Amino acid sequence: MGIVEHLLLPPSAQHFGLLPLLIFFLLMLHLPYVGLLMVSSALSVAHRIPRPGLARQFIDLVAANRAGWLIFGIIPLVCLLLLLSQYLYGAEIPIDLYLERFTVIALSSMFLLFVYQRTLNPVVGVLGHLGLVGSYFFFVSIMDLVAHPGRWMFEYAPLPHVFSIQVIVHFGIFSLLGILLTGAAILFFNFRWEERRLPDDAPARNQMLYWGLGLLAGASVLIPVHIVWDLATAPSQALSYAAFGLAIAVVALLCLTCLAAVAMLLGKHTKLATPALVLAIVVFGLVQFKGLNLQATANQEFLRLLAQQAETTRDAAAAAQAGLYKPSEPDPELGRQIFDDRCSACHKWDEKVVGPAYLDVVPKYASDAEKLKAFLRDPVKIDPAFPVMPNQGLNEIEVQSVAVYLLEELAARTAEGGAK
Amino acid sequence: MKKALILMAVSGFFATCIAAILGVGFLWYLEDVAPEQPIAFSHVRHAGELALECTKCHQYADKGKRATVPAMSICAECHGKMETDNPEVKKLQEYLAEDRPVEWVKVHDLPWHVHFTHKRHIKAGVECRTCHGDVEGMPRMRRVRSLEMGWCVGCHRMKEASTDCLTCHK
Repeated sequence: MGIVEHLLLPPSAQHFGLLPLLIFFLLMLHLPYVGLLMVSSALSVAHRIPRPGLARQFIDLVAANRAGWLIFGIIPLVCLLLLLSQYLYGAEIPIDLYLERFTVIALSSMFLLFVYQRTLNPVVGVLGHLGLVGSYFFFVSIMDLVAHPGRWMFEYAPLPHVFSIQVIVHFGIFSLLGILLTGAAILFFNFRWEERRLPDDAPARNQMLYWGLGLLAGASVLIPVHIVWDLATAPSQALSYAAFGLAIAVVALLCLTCLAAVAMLLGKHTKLATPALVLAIVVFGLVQFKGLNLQATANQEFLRLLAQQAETTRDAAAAAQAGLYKPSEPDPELGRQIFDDRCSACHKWDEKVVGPAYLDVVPKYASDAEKLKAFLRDPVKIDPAFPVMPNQGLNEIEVQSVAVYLLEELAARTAEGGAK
Repeated sequence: MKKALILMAVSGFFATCIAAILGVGFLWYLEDVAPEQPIAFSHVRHAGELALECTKCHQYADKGKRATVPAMSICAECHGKMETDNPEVKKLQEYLAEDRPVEWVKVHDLPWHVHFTHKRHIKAGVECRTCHGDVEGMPRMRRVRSLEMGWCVGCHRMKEASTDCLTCHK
């Protein structure tokens, strides 16, 4: 039993329009930041011993202040935990439990990297980086599981499907997106942004330039290969025309990014760094959107049912509030409503429709209401000339109300007929 | 010249990737998990809103190897007089009038070498939705489980059912 489970609400139909959008915007706030942090911490740790100056440059690329950690790291992470758990309220997987574990590891790793940024202690840096990689690998596997409702009921391991090829490919895409963003960010922050631009005689200038361009070009070439593999191995039930359209748009934008990187590399300049960063962010967004689209397509029936269920609950609550339901005692008015809503689809009093005319069948229950109630609770085939009546799933008070209404109405109609 | 070559190589690579995506898309299109049916029968209406039990129409699901597509007389039991203005019901009535069966497109198809019986699975307490998904939420029937061997075996292992080859392959 997860901790957040107590905070979740039974969803309403509007949730299902709103939640994916909220999740998307939070992912767009959080994941680019994590991607940058993951790659820049790796670069920084790798350079820590030979070139401490460069190590400082890399780790300062993101989150140079506490507000960055809080706004892009911790707050969106906690909100995502709640939103994703709410999105899959009542699903057959313990998604909240998985997300709680992930959040604990992710927050601890972020704290370690926070300490590393202050101290440049390589042990703390390595631990923080590995923790971050591990936790987001776990996160990617959770998101992958969301797109596979067919697997939900078979999930009982503490970690879901961590070592399936598909999860590895998804994590590959996530890491490459991080590399793409890091490359673009290195170029933008160190060469184009006035406030943090490296001076022309800075010793690390050339290295930063080549790292930035190399990461940008390399990632933009490798991401399309992963995307093709991802689509080829995705469950066909999760795919849609939109997913293919988004994939093509991503590859086209990556082509532009790659051309920009190559042009900058050949001309040894950084004039296209700003458009390259914008392209990298758009690519990141489109890939996340594609992921959510796959999940929504895979889960469309489940989400539709949850929405229907929520509507029914809301209607019943509204009806109860309006005094239409009196669940403490049988009420002929409630019986009449049920008749209008459901029974009248197949029955009339004086005419055979799908079912028999009531005037032909109700009189036999006039002296035995219990028998009528038993039939309403569990309809059985009586007359071979008619199809068996579907069970209407009435509760006890509803059964009694319908029985009272039918018998009262019969008495009224008989009296009326007798008077004529 | 060098620049033109690089430009061509880069564009060629990305064009190949787009072609590969289109290829995967075409294969997916051919597979078609939710084929169009001759009559737009909605499980949302029947299994969802009306809450008809599965065995009301698929009468042999708990009795035989096949769940069976319902006989048209079962449709006619209600639709002889019900919702007759609905264009899809009119189609059904045309079939009935011409006395020819509706050629439903099979959605859940297993290879010939798989011996599967509905009755055994229902008796073992497997719910319909385990294999067919949340049917009551499907306006058009679609396959939501892979129905591949690994998927079947996963469930068999979990429920400690036999995983002997001859259990499913005769």
